[in-house]
Amino acid sequence: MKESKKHWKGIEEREQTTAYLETLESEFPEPPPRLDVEPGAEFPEAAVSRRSFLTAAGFSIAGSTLAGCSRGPLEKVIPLLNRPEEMIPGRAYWYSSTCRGCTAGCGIVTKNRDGRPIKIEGNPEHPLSRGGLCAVGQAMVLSLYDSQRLQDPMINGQPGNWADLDLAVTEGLEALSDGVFVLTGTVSSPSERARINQFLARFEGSEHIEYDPVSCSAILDAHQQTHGQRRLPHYRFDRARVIVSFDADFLGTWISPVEFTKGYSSGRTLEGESPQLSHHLQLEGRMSLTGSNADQRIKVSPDDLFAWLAALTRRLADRSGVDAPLAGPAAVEVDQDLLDQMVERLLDARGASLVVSGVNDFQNQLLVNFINHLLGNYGTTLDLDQPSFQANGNDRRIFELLGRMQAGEVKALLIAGVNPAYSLPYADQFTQALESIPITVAFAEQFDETARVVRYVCPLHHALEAWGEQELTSGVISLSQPVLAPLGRTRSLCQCLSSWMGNEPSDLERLRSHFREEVFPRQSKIGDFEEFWNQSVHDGYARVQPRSLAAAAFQLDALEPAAAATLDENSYALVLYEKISMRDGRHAHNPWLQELPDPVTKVVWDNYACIAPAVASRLKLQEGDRVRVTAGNTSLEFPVQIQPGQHEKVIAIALGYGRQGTDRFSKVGARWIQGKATVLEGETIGGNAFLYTARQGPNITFVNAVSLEPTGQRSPLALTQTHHTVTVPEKLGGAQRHMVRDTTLTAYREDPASGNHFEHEVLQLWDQDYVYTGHHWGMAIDLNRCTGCSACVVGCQAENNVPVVGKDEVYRRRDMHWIRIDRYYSGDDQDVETVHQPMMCNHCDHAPCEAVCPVLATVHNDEGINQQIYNRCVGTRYCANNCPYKVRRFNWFDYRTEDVRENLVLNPDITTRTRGVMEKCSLCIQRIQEAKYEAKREGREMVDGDIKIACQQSCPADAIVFGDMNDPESRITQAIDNPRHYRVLEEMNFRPSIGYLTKVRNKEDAGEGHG
Amino acid sequence: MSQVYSSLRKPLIGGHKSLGDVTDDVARPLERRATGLWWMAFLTALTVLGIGVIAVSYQIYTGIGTWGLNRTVGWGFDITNFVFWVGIGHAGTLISAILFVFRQRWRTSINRSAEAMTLFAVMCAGLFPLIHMGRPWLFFWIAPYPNFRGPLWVNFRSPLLWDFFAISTYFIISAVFWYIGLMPDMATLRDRTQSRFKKVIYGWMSFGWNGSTRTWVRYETTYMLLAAFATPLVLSVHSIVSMDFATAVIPGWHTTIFPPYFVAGAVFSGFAMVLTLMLIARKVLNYEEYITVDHIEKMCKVILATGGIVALAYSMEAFMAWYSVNHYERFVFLNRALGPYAWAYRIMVLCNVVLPQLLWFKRVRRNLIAVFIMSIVINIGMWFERFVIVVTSLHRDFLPSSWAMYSPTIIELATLAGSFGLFFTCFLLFARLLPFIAIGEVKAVLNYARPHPPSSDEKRVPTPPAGKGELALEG
Repeated sequence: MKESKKHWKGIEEREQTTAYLETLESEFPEPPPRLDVEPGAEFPEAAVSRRSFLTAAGFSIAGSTLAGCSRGPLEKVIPLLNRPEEMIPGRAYWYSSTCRGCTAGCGIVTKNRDGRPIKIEGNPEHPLSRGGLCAVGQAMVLSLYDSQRLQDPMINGQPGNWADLDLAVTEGLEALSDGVFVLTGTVSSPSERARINQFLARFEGSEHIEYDPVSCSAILDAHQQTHGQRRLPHYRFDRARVIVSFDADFLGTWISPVEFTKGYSSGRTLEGESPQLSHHLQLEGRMSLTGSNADQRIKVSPDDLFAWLAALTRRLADRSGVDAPLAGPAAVEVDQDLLDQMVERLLDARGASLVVSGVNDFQNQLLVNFINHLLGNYGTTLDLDQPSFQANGNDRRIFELLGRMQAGEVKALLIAGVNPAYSLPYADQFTQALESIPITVAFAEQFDETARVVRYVCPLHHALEAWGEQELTSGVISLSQPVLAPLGRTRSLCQCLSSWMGNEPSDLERLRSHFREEVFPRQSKIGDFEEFWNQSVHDGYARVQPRSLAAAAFQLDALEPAAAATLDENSYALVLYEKISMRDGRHAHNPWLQELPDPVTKVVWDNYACIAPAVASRLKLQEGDRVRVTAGNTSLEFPVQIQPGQHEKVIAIALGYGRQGTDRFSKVGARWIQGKATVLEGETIGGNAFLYTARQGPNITFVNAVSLEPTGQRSPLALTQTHHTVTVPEKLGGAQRHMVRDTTLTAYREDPASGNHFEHEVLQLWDQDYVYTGHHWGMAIDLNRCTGCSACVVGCQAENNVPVVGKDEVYRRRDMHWIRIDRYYSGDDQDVETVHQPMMCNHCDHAPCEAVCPVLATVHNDEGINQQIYNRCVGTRYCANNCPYKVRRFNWFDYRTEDVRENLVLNPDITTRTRGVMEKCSLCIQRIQEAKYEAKREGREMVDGDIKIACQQSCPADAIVFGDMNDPESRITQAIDNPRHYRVLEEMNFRPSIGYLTKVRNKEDAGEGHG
Repeated sequence: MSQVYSSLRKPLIGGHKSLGDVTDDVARPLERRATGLWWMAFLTALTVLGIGVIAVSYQIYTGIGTWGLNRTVGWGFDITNFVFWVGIGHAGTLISAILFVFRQRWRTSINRSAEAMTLFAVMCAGLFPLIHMGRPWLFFWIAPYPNFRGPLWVNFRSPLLWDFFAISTYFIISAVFWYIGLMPDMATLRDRTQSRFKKVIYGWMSFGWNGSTRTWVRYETTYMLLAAFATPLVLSVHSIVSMDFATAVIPGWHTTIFPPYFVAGAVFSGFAMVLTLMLIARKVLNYEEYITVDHIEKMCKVILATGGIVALAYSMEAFMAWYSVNHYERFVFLNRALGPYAWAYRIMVLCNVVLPQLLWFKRVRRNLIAVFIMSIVINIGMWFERFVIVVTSLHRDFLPSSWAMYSPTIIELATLAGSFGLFFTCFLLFARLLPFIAIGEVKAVLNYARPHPPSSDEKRVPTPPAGKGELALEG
């Protein structure tokens, strides 16, 4: 065979040289390149050299280290293809609603970011609250995210589900034909009331009982007697030129404090042609917020309060030529001069005066009605024809219910929104009687004292999760709309009742049908229901025709005054009062409110026995010493707080403390070697002063005779202010400082700048200092309007993510609030005058803090704002030391909360601060920026009022003005031009951007005051 | 140079020491094993330092909240201790630099150890501004250098920044000055030691010192120049530290008298600390003939003089408070003297003004026990002076609403103790490892006020290289 043709690639192959044959053996025709081998050097083939090993090892270690530095496992995110309606990330949406923090029902707007509410503000269009909102209202948004809110129904103390609960309750109810009772707080919603009545209609002799823990039932009872209708008048403080208040804390806690503060402050304006300044006289035993704002305050023990009322009644009747409705002679003499002055003032302002009493005593309220009737105030300052529905509680019926429970007549009891096991007088009797009732249901947000003792617990929606409506005063209907889907498996009361009645219309449908049938016909402005409904939901309220509810003519038979209890030397009159923050105890789970300094005592996280300085020196008690307060069988221990201006025979204790479950705050704040827990595990914050309440006649009384006994132990109170006057102690010179300035109306009429004459020659190093060519932000606070209510403190806290630090940290004077209310007394301990002064960063144009920071973490911007740059701060605290106003706040620890749900309340516009960083008021720079963008987007110049910063927005008294000092038309410029305007420490030439307007007291005498 | 002999002058060094004796006396403690006493002292100091380390670690881990400070009193023990230690750190360089420039030859017996004390005191001082920060891990942000943080720059208006420069400059100059002075002695030790290891170390530390005239000339020139550098620093450091307060607006801080007042106070307290240490050291190390009672007395006189300035400053503060008609200023003064911290003010006045007046009496100045007690008293008094300045000014400033009290926590007490632990640990190591007395310099003053120079052959003949140096100085 012929040899096949051979193809060759090269000469070597053809020749089959030895070298070629060798290369065929090896895998590679050439050895792999070796960088480190010198040409010609001898190395064993395929061996790894030391160098290349190190290279490879180094590379792989570095590589694996780098790989280990990645930012965690890859997680896929899925973008929304269809954006939910009304959801632009980063954009805030505002929904109007109604506050349910108390029964006043102020209008609110909630700020929603990315689907979650983060801030509540007052609704400026709301007819009653007119944009104001109190501290409690501001803090309601935090309760929404409370991780300990009830999530699921509970049956016999065990978590269950709705199906089981519904089945059990409906089966139980079907077996009943009578004896079903519904116990609620004030229900000011007609539709809710109707639903309860529908539910109860199936059962014979069943009743709906309304009960307010801190009751003003006597006012309604008294009007039933005198006007034939059980009604609460709508008080019009804005129309009153003379206000006489018998222990009614109407600026703090009484009925509708925000509305009253608005009215009160609008009657006390000094701007305009002629100064309008109502005269406010307060008679009280303890020092209330309202009393601290009074033009004249008369210390009266609760026992003598009736004597004063009686004396006033007699004198007025005398002057008016009618018979006083009082039998017998006066029991106690009162100061005739003061009485004369009071009578003159009241008679001068007939029809424009207002006498109110916060005492829940029938006879007391009868006399108040008589006085108001005599002065012709009904129809002007008290509206009984268009009454208020903000408090409906009936003390008589709750005691009747208790009687029926004990008699075994109650077969099913539904308790909604109130906590009688905690707040009722004789609560232990109530709890005992509850045990024998077959069906007990509590509707509650928290696992509270009542929820602990009933069979079935229905978790309620938070107010921001529910639909609702309230008729606050006749013709003013306030709407609530849910601003997020319920966080737990909760329901509203009406939803529960509906489902137990067998039909399940949603709350929205129920509300719409109520509106269509009941509300829509009462107005004629809008013809189309849908339009009316949408408008109402949008506005958060609807004004409709008031129902004509004419009251009967006044009539009052002569009273036989009950004998006043006489106190012996060792007993005191205990006055129980509501704190602005805790109210009747329903807000005890809200840390913002727990840490809100009381406007008068400046104490946080506790209740205490307020005693007069004279009592303290007699019993040798220091602030924080524990005393035992005993009334009958009730004996509790409290630390004492020494309260200037308090009556010597009075001990005042705040209600709302001692709530079960408040030991949840044992871990709040910092934990370290010498740190103390805010509350010990298993204990409660404060003591329950409701145990001292009692039944007196038909009413619950909040006054009791007690004895006081030092225990020798101490539990120091956490105060945010420990020196209470602007006068330095006498032995240290006794000099007056002029942080706060006040004057009298008489002096003011002569010289509007009276009390403000402190001209200082302030030298400038430069002729022309820095010129603010654009904006120059500034603020003015009218001390005459500020009542010290502290709404701004919580408003700021919510806006700026200010942390809660716990009792021990406050005790160590490390409170974090960016705005604080300085409260200064003047006068002696017996008779004090008070000034409240909000204090925050003054944004000095010559800021002492800026010069001393070594790392430029605090700098001035070209709009006059002193800015704190958190991530630049290294925490030397030099700025805080050098701050003359001591407004800088340092993060001593990491105060952030680990509660994920609670953190949902954080404002995403504001960074949270880590430990070791200084912080302070930023003048809500985020709001300024937002307003600027908005103006720019709309292609216009900014106008005065575009920016409302958080404290200003929340102020129910409109005391805070913010704006551009470079704008000659702005309200801030007008405020600066006001002769009352001054700046704190202006003689030091810090050039603060915050100013104050002097306080003017409506007093005749040209007193020295602070000026 | 030739000495002027006078029968009126007393020799600076007692006991008719020869040059060799000096070398022996100083080197001997370094060449024997540590004594039990030293070990006891060292372990005690180390334990206290350990407590301080634990306290500071805990504080840095947990937060500044572990100190007793609050929103009104932002500085307490931290800055008090800082100023206290900086003050202590004044005596050394003053003794070695200013007294050198002024030709105070008695300084030679104490300058080495006083300078060492200075360094350790400044180390203790420098610790406090570091750990007093809320975020101490970012301490380097106060150093101006091109960076990637923006770049962000420092605030040259801030006295804290001036502090940073002043303290670091002072520390560096003091350390260099001290080390330069150590070099001839290192050579001496190198030449004496039998251990090969030590020879290498000492040789390295002596920078190849060969004792030649040229070496000595360069050494002397450098030493003189550094002394001239260090002299203004002695005055500037505490002046700048005082500006932390003087440039602030807080009444009680905002005082123009502060710079000279602080410098005088620093020298006052620094000399007190030197006395405390020297009185122990001369006894324990048997240096009674080097650090004589005359030395002690001279230092007492410095204390008396600077104490007088301090007393004058106190009274000027009081006078100015009254004379200024500034009611904030008046209040601060009255509050110090009669307010809640009056006890601290009284301790301060008693320890710094009243008791030091005893030093007018020669018998007290020459009574070592009395001087020792006095030095402790002054140290306590000067610590309280800083406490009074820092805390009583802050705790009640302009707005009465913010008035607050301050009390230290155990962490702060442990940190203060720890700083003493650090100081004594370092000082004991120094006494053990380095020549406590400047051999070369003491030899230079050995002839002072002696009718006949001591013959070098009385005892042992010094080793040649070191001897050369001695000869050069003897000249």
